[in-house]
Amino acid sequence: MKAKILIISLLHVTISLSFFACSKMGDDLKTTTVSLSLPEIPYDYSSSNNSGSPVFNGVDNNIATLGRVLFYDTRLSVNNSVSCGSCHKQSIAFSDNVAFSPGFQDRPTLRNTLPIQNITNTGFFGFSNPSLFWDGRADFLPSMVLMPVMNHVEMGMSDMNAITEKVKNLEYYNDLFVKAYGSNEINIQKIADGLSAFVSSVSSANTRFDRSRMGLTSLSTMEEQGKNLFFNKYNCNSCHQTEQLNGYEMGGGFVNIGLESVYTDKGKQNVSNDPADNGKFKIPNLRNITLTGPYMHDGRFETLEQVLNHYSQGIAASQALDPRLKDATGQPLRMNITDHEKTAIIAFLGSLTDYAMITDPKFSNPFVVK
Amino acid sequence: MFRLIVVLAFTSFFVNDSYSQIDSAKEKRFNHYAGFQANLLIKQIINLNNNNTAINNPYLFTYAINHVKTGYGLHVGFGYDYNRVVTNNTQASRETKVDKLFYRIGVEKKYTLSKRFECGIGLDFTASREVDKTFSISVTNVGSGVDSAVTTVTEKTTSTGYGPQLSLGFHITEKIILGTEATFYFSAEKQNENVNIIDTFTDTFSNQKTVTSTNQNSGADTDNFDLAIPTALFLIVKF
Repeated sequence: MKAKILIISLLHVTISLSFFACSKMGDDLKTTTVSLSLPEIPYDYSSSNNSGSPVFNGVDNNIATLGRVLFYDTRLSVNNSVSCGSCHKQSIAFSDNVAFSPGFQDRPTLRNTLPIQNITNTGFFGFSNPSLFWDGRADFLPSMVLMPVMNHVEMGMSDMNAITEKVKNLEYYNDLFVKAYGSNEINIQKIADGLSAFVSSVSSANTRFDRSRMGLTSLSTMEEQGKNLFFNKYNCNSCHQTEQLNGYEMGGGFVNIGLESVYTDKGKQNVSNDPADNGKFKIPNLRNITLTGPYMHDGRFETLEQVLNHYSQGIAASQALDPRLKDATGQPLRMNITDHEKTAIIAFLGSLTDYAMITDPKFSNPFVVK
Repeated sequence: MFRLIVVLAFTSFFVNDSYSQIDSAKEKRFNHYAGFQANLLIKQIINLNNNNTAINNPYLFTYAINHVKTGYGLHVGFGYDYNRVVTNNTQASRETKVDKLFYRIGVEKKYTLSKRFECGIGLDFTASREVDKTFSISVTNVGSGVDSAVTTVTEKTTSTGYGPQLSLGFHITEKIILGTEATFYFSAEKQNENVNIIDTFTDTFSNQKTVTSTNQNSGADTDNFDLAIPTALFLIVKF
């Protein structure tokens, strides 16, 4: 009897596996024809507030328009299925709403998608290079924009020549390159510059917090309480410099915030090979923070409340833990943030949402269903 | 071939064991251990925290047979993972299927540490095969016509390896054991990727279709050491 049950179970498993293995691929896919839709007169990208961006330095709006098309073109991936915009979604401040975004083969990326906004091509007053990615492994925007395109998990293109060849074979780029550069010659430098121009033009400077600083509006009582806690009692501003558009004053920073005692992802140490950089990750810009969850480099926290719980009670002792997160005895700081304080801080963080940026048509996907 | 070796090894031990029972029905010569990876089950029962610790031990089912007196024996492991994802987006739709198979076979010696604990040390030989297949379609109006691209990316990864294994078991009862293990495998991996694109351009005015087909192959060989720390827990029945 037992043998019979075993044989029937094995047959069942075999048949189930065969069924999965034999079902024809593509049967469940829906196809829609999309068209490129661009305005007659290009949008104005020169109003970008990102100092150091190619646009700010006088690059034509047509270059940013070219960059916008490249940014949203799924044909830049090896199987035409993923674009930069697949992970960097405008409606959520060019971030993604999953811990790890799926790449062209649905494999998860290794880190959480960083939001794109107020990215500059230079660091402090143009004297240093920017630190890009969670671990700062890139410091030049035109190089950085091509790295996800050639990443084996993200967009899967084999090399720069393959990208150039693909763009050359797409008819609509001919006109875009002529408008942008005055000639239809396509090369990787122009592709990178176009992408950089668009990425660095994504600007967030129109939040209720910004308007309140200019005296154009006022924050609610709860938001004001949160602001005081943020700037004074808990001094969150010592890392997250929200008054700066790019979120930092001195070229950005990398800190270990005690997420783990032993980091599985070593962060900046992977780049610098310096043990003092163990577990250090880029301090994110808090603009639009209520939209950009899940949070941290690995998307471990679903909500801002969970983030505050970490700072309140959860900081782990770690060799490279930031001194600002240690108490007088050198132990991890216990901020003991009350529930009311957490609500107030989250209310204040809500005032950092830039609704104009996330709905601005000049940053939107130009491939539309007609 | 590898599967055949596993089956033969199993069979030979069962045959020996069955003869031994005929010769000496009272004296047990071999201990059998049948186990399955129980991390998810244990997580369901004891939900300690929300942290999702990655388990890099792929063997779902394990079986070991050890000589009662000497502790020497043979163990095998098998794992299978299937995943299908369908993503329908406006610009491009894709379907991904991932098939993963893992096998291992090894020799080991078990030691009884106390009434509750026993441990083992052994040498494993491993093999795995993974096939990732992604099928995607995108249709774009490019001005003078409609361009439809159907792309299939097939990636096959095979790996073989070997390395030491350490196991530790805790007897919940005489016959039920909660076990864990650490492995340190050296593996050689061979990867082949094939990208096949069928591009169909339909001219808007003449309705004429032009089909272009491209096929690219690439491959890579890598060697690596993989230390798997004991995050995998096995529920094992001893008989």
